Amino acid sequence: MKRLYIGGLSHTITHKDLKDRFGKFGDVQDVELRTRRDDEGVPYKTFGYINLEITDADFKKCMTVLNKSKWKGGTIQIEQARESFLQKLAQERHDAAEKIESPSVNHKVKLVESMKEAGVENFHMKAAVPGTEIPGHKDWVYDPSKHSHNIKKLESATEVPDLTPVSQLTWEISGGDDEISKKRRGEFPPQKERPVKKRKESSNEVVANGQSDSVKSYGTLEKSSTVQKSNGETRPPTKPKQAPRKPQTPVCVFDSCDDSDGDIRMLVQQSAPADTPVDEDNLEVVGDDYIPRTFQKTKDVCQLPVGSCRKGEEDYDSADTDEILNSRKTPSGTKQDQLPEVSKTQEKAEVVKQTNNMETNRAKAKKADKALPEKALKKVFPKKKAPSPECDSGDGGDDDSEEESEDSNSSKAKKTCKVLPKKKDVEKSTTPSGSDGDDSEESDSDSSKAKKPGKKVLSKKKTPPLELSSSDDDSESYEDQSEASADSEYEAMFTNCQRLEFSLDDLQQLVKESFLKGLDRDSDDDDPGSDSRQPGPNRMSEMLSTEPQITDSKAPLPPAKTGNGNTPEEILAAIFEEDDSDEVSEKKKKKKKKGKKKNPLTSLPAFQGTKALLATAGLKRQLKEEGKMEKQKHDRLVSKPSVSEDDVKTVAKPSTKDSTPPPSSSDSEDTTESSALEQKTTSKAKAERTVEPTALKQKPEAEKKSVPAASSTSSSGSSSEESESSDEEEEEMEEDVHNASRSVPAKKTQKAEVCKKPQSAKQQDNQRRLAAQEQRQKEADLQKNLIQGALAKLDSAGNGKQHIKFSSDDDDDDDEHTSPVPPNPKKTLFQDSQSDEEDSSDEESPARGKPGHKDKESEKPAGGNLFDSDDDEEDEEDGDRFQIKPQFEGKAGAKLMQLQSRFGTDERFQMDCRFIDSDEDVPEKELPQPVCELTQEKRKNLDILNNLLNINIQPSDPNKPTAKGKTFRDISALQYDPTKEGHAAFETKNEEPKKESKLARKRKREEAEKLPEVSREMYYDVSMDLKEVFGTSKEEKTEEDVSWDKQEETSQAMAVDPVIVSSHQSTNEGEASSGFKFSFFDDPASDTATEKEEYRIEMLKGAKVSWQVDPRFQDSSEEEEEEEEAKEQTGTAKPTEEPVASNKAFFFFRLDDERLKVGPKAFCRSSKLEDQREDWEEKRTGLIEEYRKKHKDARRKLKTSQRN
Amino acid sequence: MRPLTDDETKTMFEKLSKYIGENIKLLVDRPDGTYCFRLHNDRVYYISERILKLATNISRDKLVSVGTCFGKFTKTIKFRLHITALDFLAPYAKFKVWVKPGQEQSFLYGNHVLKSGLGRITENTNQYQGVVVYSMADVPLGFGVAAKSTQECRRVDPLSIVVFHQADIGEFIRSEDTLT
Repeated sequence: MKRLYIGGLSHTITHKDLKDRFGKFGDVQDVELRTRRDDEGVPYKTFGYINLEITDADFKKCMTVLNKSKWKGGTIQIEQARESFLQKLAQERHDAAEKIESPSVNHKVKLVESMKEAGVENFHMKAAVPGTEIPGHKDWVYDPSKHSHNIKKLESATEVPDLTPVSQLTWEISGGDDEISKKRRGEFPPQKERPVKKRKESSNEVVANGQSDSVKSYGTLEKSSTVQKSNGETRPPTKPKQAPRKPQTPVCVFDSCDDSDGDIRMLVQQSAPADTPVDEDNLEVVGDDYIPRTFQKTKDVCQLPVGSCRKGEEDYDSADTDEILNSRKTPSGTKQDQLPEVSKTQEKAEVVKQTNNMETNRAKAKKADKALPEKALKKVFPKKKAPSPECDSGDGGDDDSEEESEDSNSSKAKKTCKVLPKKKDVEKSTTPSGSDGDDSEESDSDSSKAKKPGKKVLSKKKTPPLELSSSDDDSESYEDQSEASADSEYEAMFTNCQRLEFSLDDLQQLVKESFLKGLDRDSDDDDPGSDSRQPGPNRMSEMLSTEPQITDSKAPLPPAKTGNGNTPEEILAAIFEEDDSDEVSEKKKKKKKKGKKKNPLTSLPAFQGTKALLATAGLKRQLKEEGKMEKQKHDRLVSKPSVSEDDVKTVAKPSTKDSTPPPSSSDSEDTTESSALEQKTTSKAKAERTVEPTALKQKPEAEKKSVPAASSTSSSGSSSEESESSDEEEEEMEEDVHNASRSVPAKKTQKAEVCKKPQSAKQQDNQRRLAAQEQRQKEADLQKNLIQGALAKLDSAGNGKQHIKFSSDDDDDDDEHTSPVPPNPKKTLFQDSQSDEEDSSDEESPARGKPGHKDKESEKPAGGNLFDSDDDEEDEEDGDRFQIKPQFEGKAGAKLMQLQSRFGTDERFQMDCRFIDSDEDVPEKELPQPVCELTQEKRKNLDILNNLLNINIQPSDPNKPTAKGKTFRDISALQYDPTKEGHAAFETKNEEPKKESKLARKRKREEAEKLPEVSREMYYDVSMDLKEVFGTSKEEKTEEDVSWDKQEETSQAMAVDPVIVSSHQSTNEGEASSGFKFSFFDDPASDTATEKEEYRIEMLKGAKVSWQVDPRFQDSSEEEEEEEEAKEQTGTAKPTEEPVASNKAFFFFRLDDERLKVGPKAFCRSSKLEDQREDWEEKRTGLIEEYRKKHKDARRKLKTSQRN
Repeated sequence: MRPLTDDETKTMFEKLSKYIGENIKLLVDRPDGTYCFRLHNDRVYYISERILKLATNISRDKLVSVGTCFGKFTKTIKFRLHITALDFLAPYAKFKVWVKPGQEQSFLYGNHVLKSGLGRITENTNQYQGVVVYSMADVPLGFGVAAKSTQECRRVDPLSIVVFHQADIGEFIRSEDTLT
C-alpha cells in the first residue's frame, strides 16, 4: 500500500475523479483532497493524498502515465508521500501493543543486557572467580560450569522455544453455568439488584401489606386467614426467590422458576380464566401456588429447607386439604398446581373469612386499617391477578407504577395475608383447640366459605405471591413469614408474634390464643406422640417442615391420609411418590422452563419437595432408625431458633422494630416505594442476609436438584443438604425477625414460644422413644432379612460368617446392600443423605468426609446387626480402634500407619510392632554423613596441598554460613563514588607537610652541619727514630763543629778568649755532658765528637798533620802564633758566629732562618714609598698605553668583523 | 565415581599448583558451597556437592560426565590438564602470557607460542612454569608451559618458542568428542 501525493490538481477535481483516475492502477482505499485558499477564499492550490493498494510495477506505470500529465487544466505531479500521521500512530500503537503482548521475549534480552551491565557477557564474567556474586543480580552467582560453554546451545535454544505469553498459559475454567462458578469468574448476575429492589419493594409492600393486612388479619385473620396468609407469605417469598434465581442462572431451576414466573403469568392468566370458571378451583390452584410458594419460602427460610420445605409444602398441601396429597401424588402437571392452588384458594378464602372474622372479632381500632388492608388486599388481588404476572415478569418495574403499587399492595397483601394466615394458622391451631384436624377443617371450611368471595383475591394473591416470591420476595417479611411458616409451630408462633407486633392488642390476644393453642397442640402432639406412629409422622413432618403450618397441616393431613401414613414407611412412600412426581414435573418444567406456570411453581415446591422428600425420607429413616437424630435436629432447630432469635432480636430489634412498625411503616405499605425503600434498607440487611444466602443456596440447590436430582438421588441428597443449611439459616433469620417482633410486641409471644418449646421437647422425646422403638423393630427385621437372605444365598453359614467377619466395612456394605432388600431399601441410600444433612445441619460448614464417617458410624448400629456377637467384638475393637496403638506411635508409627492404611483393615496385613523399622535412624544419619565426608575430603585435600606447597592453609569453617563469594569488582569499570565509604581509599589527601618539613629541614641541616665529633683524647705518637732523624743533621754540623771545635780546642788551649772560652766551656761542658745527657746540641756533638774522634782521629790526624804540618805557623813565633791566634780568633770568631747562630736555632726556627728573613720582607717595604710610587706611575703609564693600544686593536677588529 | 586417593590428589595438585599455586585452596575450599574432586573413568571432575548428590542416581557405566572435567590421569599416572578446567584455573592463574592477536589463531590451532607472538608476559616467570595463555583482550585461551624465563624471552630471537602449548580452547571444537 502506498500513499501518493498528487499535486497540481485543478480546483474542480473531486474525490471521485481522483478515485476513478487512479483506480486503474490499484485499489484506491482513501482519497484526501486539500485545497489551499488565500485570504479571500480563492483556491490557489489543490492537492491530494491517495492511499493506493498498488504494486511497484503499477506504481511505475502510474508514474509514467500520470506524472506531469495534464488533467483538467492542471499538471499532475505525483510523488510518493509519507505515511499518514494516523497510520503511523496506529502502527506505532500496534507495535507497542505487540511489544506489550510479547514482553517475555524482551525479558531474556533484558536479563542478558542487565547482566552485561554487571560485567557478564554471554554468561561469562571476565576475570571473575567462580562463585562471585554478580552485582545487581540477587542470588546470581558466577559459575562458569553452568553457562560459559553452553552459550551457543543456549542461544540456539533460545531461538527455538516460542515463548508463550503468560496470558496463554492461563486458562479459564469453563465452569458450568452454576452460580458459584459464574461468581468465581466474577460474573455476578445483574438480576440480583433487581431482586433486591423487588425484594425491597415486595418486602416493603409485603410488610406494608402484612402490616395492613396483618392489622386487618389480626382483626379477622386468625383462623381462616392464617392459611391464606401463610400461603401468601410462602408464595411471595418463593416467587421473589425464583425471580432472582432466574436472572442468576438461566439454566437453573430458578431460571425455570423465572421462566415459571413468566409461565406463571401465563398460567395465571390462563388459570385466571380457568380459575374464574371454577372460582373455587382457582382458589385451590392459588392454594397450590401458595403451597409451592410456601414451600419455596420454607426452602429459603427453613433450616430443613429441602426436606422440611418440601415436607412443609407437602404438609401444607396436605394440611390444606387431603387433595393436596393427591395433587402431590399427581404433581407432574397441573393437578398438583391446581390442587395447591385449590388449597391456596381455600386458604385464601379462609384467610379472607378469617380476616373478616378477625376483623370483626378483633381490633376495632384496626378496623380502619383492616378495611384499608382489606381493600388493598382486594385491590391488590385483582390487580395482582392481571398485573402480578407482569410485575413478576417485569420485576414490577415493568408494570405501571400503579401496577407496581398494586403489586406491592398485592405483595403486601400477600404478605399480610401470609402473616395473617400465619396468625390465623396459629390462631387456628390455637383457637381451633390446637387440633390440626380442626385447623384443617376450619381452613377447609374457611376456604370453602371464603372461596366465593376470596377466590378471585386468592387466585390473584396466589399468582402474585408466587410472583412476589419469585420476584425477590426474599424480603425479610416474606422470608420471615415463610420461614415462620416453614418453622414448625414455633415459627408459626413467631409469625404470629410478628403479626402480633403489628397489632399489639391482636398480638397479645394472639399470644394468649397461641399459648392456648400451643398447649392444645402440645397436647395434641403429645396425643399423637403417645400414638406410636401418628406422633412420629407428625413429628416427622413437623421436624421436617419445621413450619408450624406445615406440621399442622401434615399432622392433620397424614392422619387424614392414612393411618399408615403415620408409619414412616408409608409416609416415605407417599412422599417419595410425591417427590418423584414432583421431581419429574420439576425436571420437565425446568427443561421446558417455559412449561407451565403451575408446573414451575409446583415444580419448585416439588423440587423442594424432592429435597424435602429426601430429607424427609432420611428423617423418616432416621426416625425409624434414629429417632434421636431427628429429635436432635428438632432440638437443634429449637435451640438454634431460640438462640438465633435472641441474636436476631438484638440485631434485628432496631430493624425489626422498624419493621414491626415497618409493617406499620410498611403500611407505608401503602405501596409507597419510598417507604418500601426505607424498609428495604432496614429489611435489606436482614433480607439480604437471609435472602441472599437462602436464595443463592436455593438456587444451586434447585439447580442441582433439577439436573442431578433427575440423575441421581445422591445429588439430590447433596442438594438437600445445601438446602437444609440454607433453610436453617433462613429459619434462623426468620426466627430472629420473629423474635425481634416478639420483643417489641410483648413477652407473651416469648412465653408462648417457651411454652411451645417445652412442648416440642416433650413431643420430641416421645418421638425419640417411638423412633427408637421403631428402629429396634426395624433392626430386628433387618437382621431377620439379612439372615434369611444370607441363608438363602449362602449354602454354608460359615461363609457368610466369614464374610461378615472380614471387616466392619463389609458390614456396612452388607447393610447398604441388604437394607435395600428389606422393606426400607431406600432408607440406607437416604441415610447417607440424611446423615449428611444432619451433619450439615449440625455443622453449618459441613465437611463431607466427617459426615460420611458419622453416617457410617450411625449406620453401623442402625444397619442390621446381624451378628450381635460380632458386633460386640467390633464394639470392643471399636473401643480399641480409637486408642492409639503402641506400634503407631512416633514417626515409625506414622510410617506404619501409612503402610497400614495402604493395606486397609485387612487382617492379613495388620501391622504389628514387629514392623516398626528399627533402622529409621539410618536415613537421618545419612544426610549429615556425606557432608562430613566432603569436609573430610576437603581437609585431606588441603593437607595434601599444605604438604605440596609448604603453605599453611586452614580450611574455612564449614559451619560458617557460606560467606558470600567475593563480590566481583571490575576495576576497569570502577568509578569513583564519593558516597561510598570504600572509595575513600581512592581519595588523595592533601596534607601540608610544610611545618614539619621546616623543622625537619632545620634538624636535617643541623645534623648535616654537625661535623663528625672528634674525640678529645690526644694521641701522641712518638717516633723512636727522632734521635736519628735529628741526629743525622747535627752530625754533619758537628763534624764541622768538631773540626772547628777541635781546632778551637786546640786553639782554646793556646788562646783563651772569655767568649770563646765560655763557648768552649759550653762545648766542653757539652762534650762532657754528651756522654751523660741527651741534648739536641751537645749530645750529638759529643757523640759525634766521640765518634768522630775516632774518625777524627784519622781525619784529624791527617788534617792536623796537614794543618799542624805547616811549621811556619807554628814555627813562626809564638807571638806570631798569638797573633795568629788572634787572627785565628777573629777568623775563628767569624766562623764561630755561624755556629753560634746555629747553636741558637730552636726546634722550628733557627736564628737567621731564611724564612724569618723572607717573612718580614712581606711586611716591610723593600724600597721607599716614593720610589715605589715612581715605579708604579711609570708602570701605570706603560700599562695604560698598552691597554689603549689593545682597545684600539679590538675596536678595529670589531669594526672589520662587522663590516665583513 | 570415587574420590581421589591421596596420591592422585597429590599428583593433581602438583599439576594444578604449577598454574595457580596455592590458589588451589580456593577451589577446594570455596565460600559459595562445597565442591569436591571426583575420579570417574580416569578423569577428574570438579563437582559441587549438590550435583554430586544428583549424580549418585546415575549408574557408573551410564555416567559420561558430571561437573567440570579438570583433566585425566594418563596410564602412567600422570595428570594431564584438560581445557575444560580453564574456567576455573584462569581466574587464579599466577603466571600469564598474553598472545598477540596475530598469533591467537595459531595458538588456538594447537601451536606453540613464538616470541614474535608474545605480547606480554608476567615477570619473573621461570622456565617450565605453567602459564595461562590469554589473548590481548584478556580472554583466556589455554594452558602452556613457559619455554623460556621472562629474562630469556627478552633476548631470544623472534622465531624461538616461548610457550609450549598444552591445551587451548580450540579443543572444544577439535576434540569435541573426547572432551568430557
